Amino acid sequence: MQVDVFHKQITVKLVYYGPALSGKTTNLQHLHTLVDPGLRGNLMALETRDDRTLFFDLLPFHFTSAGGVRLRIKLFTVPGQVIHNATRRIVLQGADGVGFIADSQVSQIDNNAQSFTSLGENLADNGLNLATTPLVIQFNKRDLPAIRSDDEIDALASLGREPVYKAVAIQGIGVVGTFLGLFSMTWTALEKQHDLSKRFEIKASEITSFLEGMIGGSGRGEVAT
Amino acid sequence: MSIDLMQSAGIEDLASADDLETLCTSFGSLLGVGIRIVDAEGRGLASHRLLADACEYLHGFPSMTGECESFFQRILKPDGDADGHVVHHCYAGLAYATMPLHYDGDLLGNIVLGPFRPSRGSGAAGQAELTSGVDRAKLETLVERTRSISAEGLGRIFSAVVTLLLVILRMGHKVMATGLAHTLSVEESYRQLLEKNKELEDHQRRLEEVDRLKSNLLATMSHELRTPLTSIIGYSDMLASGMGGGELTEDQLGYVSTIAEKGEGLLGTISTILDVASLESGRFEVERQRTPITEIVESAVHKVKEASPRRDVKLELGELSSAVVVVDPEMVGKAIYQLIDNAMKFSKPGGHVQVQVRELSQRPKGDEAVGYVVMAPKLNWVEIMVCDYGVGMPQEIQKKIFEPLFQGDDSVTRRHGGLGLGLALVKHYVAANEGRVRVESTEGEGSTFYIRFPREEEPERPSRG
Repeated sequence: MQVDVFHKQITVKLVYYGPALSGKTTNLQHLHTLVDPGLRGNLMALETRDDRTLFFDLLPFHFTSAGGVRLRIKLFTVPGQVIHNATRRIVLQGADGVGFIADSQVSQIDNNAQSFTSLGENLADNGLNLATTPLVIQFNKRDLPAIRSDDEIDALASLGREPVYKAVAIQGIGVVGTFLGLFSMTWTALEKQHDLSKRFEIKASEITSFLEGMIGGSGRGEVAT
Repeated sequence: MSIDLMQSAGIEDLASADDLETLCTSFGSLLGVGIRIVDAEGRGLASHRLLADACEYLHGFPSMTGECESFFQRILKPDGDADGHVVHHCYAGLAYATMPLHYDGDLLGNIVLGPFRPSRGSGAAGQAELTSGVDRAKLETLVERTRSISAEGLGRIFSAVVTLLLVILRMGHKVMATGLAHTLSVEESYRQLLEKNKELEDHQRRLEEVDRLKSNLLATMSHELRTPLTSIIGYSDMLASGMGGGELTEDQLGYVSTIAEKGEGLLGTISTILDVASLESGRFEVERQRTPITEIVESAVHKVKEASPRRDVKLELGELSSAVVVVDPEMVGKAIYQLIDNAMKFSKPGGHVQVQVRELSQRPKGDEAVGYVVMAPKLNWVEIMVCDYGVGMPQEIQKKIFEPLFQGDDSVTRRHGGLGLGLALVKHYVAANEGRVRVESTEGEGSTFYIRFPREEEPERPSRG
């Protein structure tokens, strides 16, 4: 989190991480379409011709609280390809929360695990701890054949720590829920750490209402229990 | 220099001076009006100047020039709170319009348009005191000759200028972000490479030294020990079979058999050392195949039962999982054999050794719960337990027990023989098959060795979510 006391501005950094082609950029693109143009920044998608993110995508949201504090949420994705590890590590610098976008296909189990392992390593290299970083997991591509079953994901999710969302990002399903879940978890952690409501008179409920109003409550998708 | 992807950029970072100049010139010429772009502090970045005749007339009066300059400086700095464009009326009766420029929530600068003649009713000429000597009628005539722009016209002009400027800024931002990410990535890769190179150089130096020592040792073992041993065993066998020319007495036969037996034992030890050496150096092949773990364990148990001299220790085969693993059966079989053989050796007379194979519970412990839904398919293990109720070992020995040549307790190990290579071999065999080995032990009560391998899932029938 970056705090500019002089300009009363807080910038929160959220990063969508995951294996190549798991749908990180698609999540951002859908969020971008939902937001009022006056409140969103430009979606900077640095893609190659085959839809692979080359460096990162960046989607800034702006919000001004009743107390005059400006909150900026910068949403990044990382390039999923294995060779771009250095870029992933850089994009993760100073991340306040991470959304892990996993591919639901059975064939992608190893890639998901490998990417998750690299997430832990790259966070550690940035002085962050995976176990204490706000984290949500999204299982995307639920509309494809040959995917891991709902029962399996629900059973495993109930044993894990973090909220797990199911999504079809290309149809917008589960995208909003994942984002709101990630932001809420991140804000709670930042509030606990920095006492934001007292220092800046900015309330979590105020932001949540703003975000819900901004991107709507539809398409939240199903949350694994 | 500290740069990061979260930093905000100014207009000058995102657009070149030439592009801004071209934009000003194009719009200024097209509209017949001056246009200027300034940064967030009001510093000029580009402009197309068109001085109205009225302005030139007033600049003929020195005091008016100062007034004009002072007015202009006041309007240059952008007002971030302004909602849309703002019209500023000057002393001559003309006006300037300013439009704050926002990009991604940041106030980047100001666009200043003018001078122009405001449409009637939007401001009166000569609002301020004019210097004596100014011909008011002439001034009004000159003002009338200046290009007039209505409020609606200003809205359209600013809309077009801002839109085009934002396109330029966005393109520039993309280029800057790409370049920045690329630079940072290259820097990070370079830093990693330097670190790795340093590590590699250190490793290489150590490896070269170790390799030299090991080569010497292996050459000695292989030639100086194994070769004569083969002769000793061979000649002992020949003597025992009467090929030495004449029958041996019973005592002589006993001596010769002992020589051959001990020779075989020594050859076995040397072969073990060579096995460890080859595993440590990575010069070995692992032939992994899908195998039910039970088959490997049962085979090892059977071999120990055949070979172990400890008839006073009971070997029990407990719970057995039907799990399938992908391992080199021969290598893993040797590891399990070694653990069971050790357990038999270190058991108390009349004791027993238990061997079990179980699938580990899927319930994650501690930080294993982080990302469990993603990692779980890679965390399914099958575990082989070899449990004895023998002498056990203290904590400090448990930490070193898998190191080559480590002898836990001289008095005990000497009694049972061996070089302390068996568990080092087990560790290598298990690691070569992507497994893990550990020990839990209580001194005086016994030890349990655990080997675990990733459990191979049965092919799952895909389902739709």
